[in-house]
Amino acid sequence: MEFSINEEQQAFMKSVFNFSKNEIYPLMEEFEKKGEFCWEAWKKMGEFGMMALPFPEEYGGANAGVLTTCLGMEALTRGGASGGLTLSWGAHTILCGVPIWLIGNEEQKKKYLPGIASGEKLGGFGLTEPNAGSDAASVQTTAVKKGDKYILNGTKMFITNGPIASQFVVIAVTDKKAGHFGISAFIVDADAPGFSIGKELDKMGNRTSTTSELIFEDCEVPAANLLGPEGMGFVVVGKTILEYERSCLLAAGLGGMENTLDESIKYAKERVQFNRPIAQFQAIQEKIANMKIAVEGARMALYRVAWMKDNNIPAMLEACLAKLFMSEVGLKVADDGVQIHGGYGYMREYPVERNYRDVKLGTIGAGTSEVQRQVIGKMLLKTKKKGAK
Amino acid sequence: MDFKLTAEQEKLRKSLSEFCAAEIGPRAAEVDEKAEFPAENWKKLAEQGVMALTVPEQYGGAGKDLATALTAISVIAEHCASTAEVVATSMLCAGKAIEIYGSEQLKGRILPELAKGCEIGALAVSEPGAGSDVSAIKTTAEKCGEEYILKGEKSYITNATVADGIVTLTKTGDSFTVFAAPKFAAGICVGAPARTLGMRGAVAANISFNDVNLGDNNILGGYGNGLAVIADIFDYVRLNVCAVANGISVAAYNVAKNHAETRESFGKPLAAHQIVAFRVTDMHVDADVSRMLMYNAAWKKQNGEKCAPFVALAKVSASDTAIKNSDRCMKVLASAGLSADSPAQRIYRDARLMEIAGGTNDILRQIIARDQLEL
Ligand SMILES: Cc1cc2nc3c(=O)[nH]c(=O)nc-3n(C[C@H](O)[C@H](O)[C@H](O)COP(=O)(O)OP(=O)(O)OC[C@H]3O[C@@H](n4cnc5c(N)ncnc54)[C@H](O)[C@@H]3O)c2cc1C
Repeated sequence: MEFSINEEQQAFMKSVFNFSKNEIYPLMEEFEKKGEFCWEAWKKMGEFGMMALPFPEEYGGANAGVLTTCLGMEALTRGGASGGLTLSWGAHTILCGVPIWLIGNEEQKKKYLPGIASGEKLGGFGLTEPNAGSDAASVQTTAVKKGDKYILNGTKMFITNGPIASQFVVIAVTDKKAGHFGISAFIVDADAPGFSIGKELDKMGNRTSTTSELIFEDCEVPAANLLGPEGMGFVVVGKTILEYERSCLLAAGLGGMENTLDESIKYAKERVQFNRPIAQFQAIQEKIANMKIAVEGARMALYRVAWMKDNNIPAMLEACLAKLFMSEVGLKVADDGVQIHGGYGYMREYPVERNYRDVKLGTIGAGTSEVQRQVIGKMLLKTKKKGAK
Repeated sequence: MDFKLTAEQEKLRKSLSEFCAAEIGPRAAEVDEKAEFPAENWKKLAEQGVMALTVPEQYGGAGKDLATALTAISVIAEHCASTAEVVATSMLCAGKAIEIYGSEQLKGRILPELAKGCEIGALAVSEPGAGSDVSAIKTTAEKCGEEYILKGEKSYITNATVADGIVTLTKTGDSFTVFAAPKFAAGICVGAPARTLGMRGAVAANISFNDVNLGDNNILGGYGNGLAVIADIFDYVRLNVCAVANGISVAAYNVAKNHAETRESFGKPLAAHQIVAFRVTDMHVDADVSRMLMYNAAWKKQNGEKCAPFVALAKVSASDTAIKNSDRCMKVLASAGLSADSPAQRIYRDARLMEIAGGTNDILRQIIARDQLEL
């Protein structure tokens, strides 16, 4: 075993951290309050190369590998980028970009990846529906082939970047009778005929990312935009994305926890009550210690998935484990952060207040904690009756 | 970055697992019941070369790194926590102190014996009036000509009843000094075994030093350097607790998993009931994260990086998890776990020591927090 981060990676983290602190963080408060996407921050991130990280160089990417991508996102959030901004990054880079990169044909990659890697063509991913959340295979949106087009009908729910994206990877049923193997993936351009954006959703946290419904009414998608073989969308896209989203997307969560810890340490040293900094009270120290233990455990869980993916080791169990562990301890870290700040922590101008609201999505999005336990439990436990097949 | 064991470590883990499943596990209940040093297990593990793992090759050892030793201790603890604790105390606590801080002569005499398992070590720091607050110890070593005279009492010392050598911390005027005392030295008196809740095979007893004469050669790490020496050794002590605690967590998981898969209720295995399945799943998750934290801390220690806070947090995580998992295991087994014949209740009792040994978790949290807050 070997637990070091090389010098190049350390330098990269430092530069991302400083970039985030100086260029991104100052923009966050205003947009957080408005609940709006911050194009200025997005453009800066694009220029800095954040959206290019995982992709191959021939498509405008940086070929950084999973671990380095994670380290970059961790540093970005630790530096003060809001959870909303990094969620938008995740929906764009990981949920839209990665399946096109790993499943798409050459033409699709050439067409879409450069715009995704530069950040100019914002992306999104549409799986969830009003009646299909955890039970993702129960999606009802249909895609019927007609000549050289597919005609899509249905509604997608909770779609990050919905109101502003240029293209989406969309999951729809092509053969109702075939179950899991009758669900396909498509790349849908936002200007496709019959496509529209539903109601924009007002959220508790991650307010700098926009979320909406997507509505497909006889929406025409060129057959060339079928992503992967017909009927394989759910299985292939699911498999491809899952390990990525349960690593790269989580990295921002780790950065968020570190940000909360950093802010709490700073505050505990500055805030004086009973003639001494509150940092000197045992009860505050205990919270700081618990936060640090959670951060380091989360770091292990996350880096392991990244390392496994970089070494082509299947990481489904480890990815679900990381997602579950990080999001659950994240709640406690955020709570301790606000508690250490007292009444000030309840105020909008303190980052811990935002972190507290942002962190809750962790146990819900990309598969709830219960779903992670379900998946892990299936891999660990035999649930068949004795003698049963 | 590399999260896997080396091929050699993996091989050791596998063969030792098989060995312990056959030879150590089946005797765990008896070790607990007898509340005696598990001499038979000690002998068998010594024959397997376990005691030699960390001892440098020139002293008859295998010269393996910390990660290897911790892997072995965890595996043993999965089958019998008391046995693992006894081995780790001798190998990692006393053994490391002698290896790192002993004179050439001392090392040449003691390390080969430790490696063969012919001698057993103990580490004696705590006293009746000084537990968490190490600097409050009252045992003194007074210099008289060429000799030092030790006076005082140490309490709850694991391996005290069987140790051939005792590494101990004393006050030397305003400073502190660590000594290695041979058990046969006149004036050393070992008290009755403490009757404890768990870890009963890792017998602890008080040791009193009644004018024990030792020489310069018995000093570890130089006169007056005791606190620095002990701070360093405490990293090993805590890593040993990590390893034992992680073994306990896995043992609890294995017992719970086996029960959930084999016992049926409402027409299906317990594991097919979501609440049970999720509980067992959480046991794996927490044990797995604690295991990584242990290896991370050990890696830092091995490479001479600043590691005390990382060792501390790995220990807190491992022992909290051991306690949590032993509790979850009891819930999964319900009435079956209460039975004196069930490993669940032994695991439940054994786990408690883990948050106390090597510095209580409350004290370790202070170490972590002070580092974070730069206090
Ligand atoms: C801000 C935000 C952004 C999102 N972005 C996207 C996006 O870009 N693209 C996209 O496709 N989706 C997105 N989602 C959707 C997200 O993935 C879903 O919300 C999530 O999968 C949960 O589905 P649900 O909300 O319908 O909850 P439900 O599935 O209805 O779950 C309700 C409760 O029941 C529990 N539950 C359900 N089934 C089981 C079971 N078998 N066993 C035990 N408990 C169970 C759940 O854990 C949960 O506690 C986003 C969601 C949010 C809030």
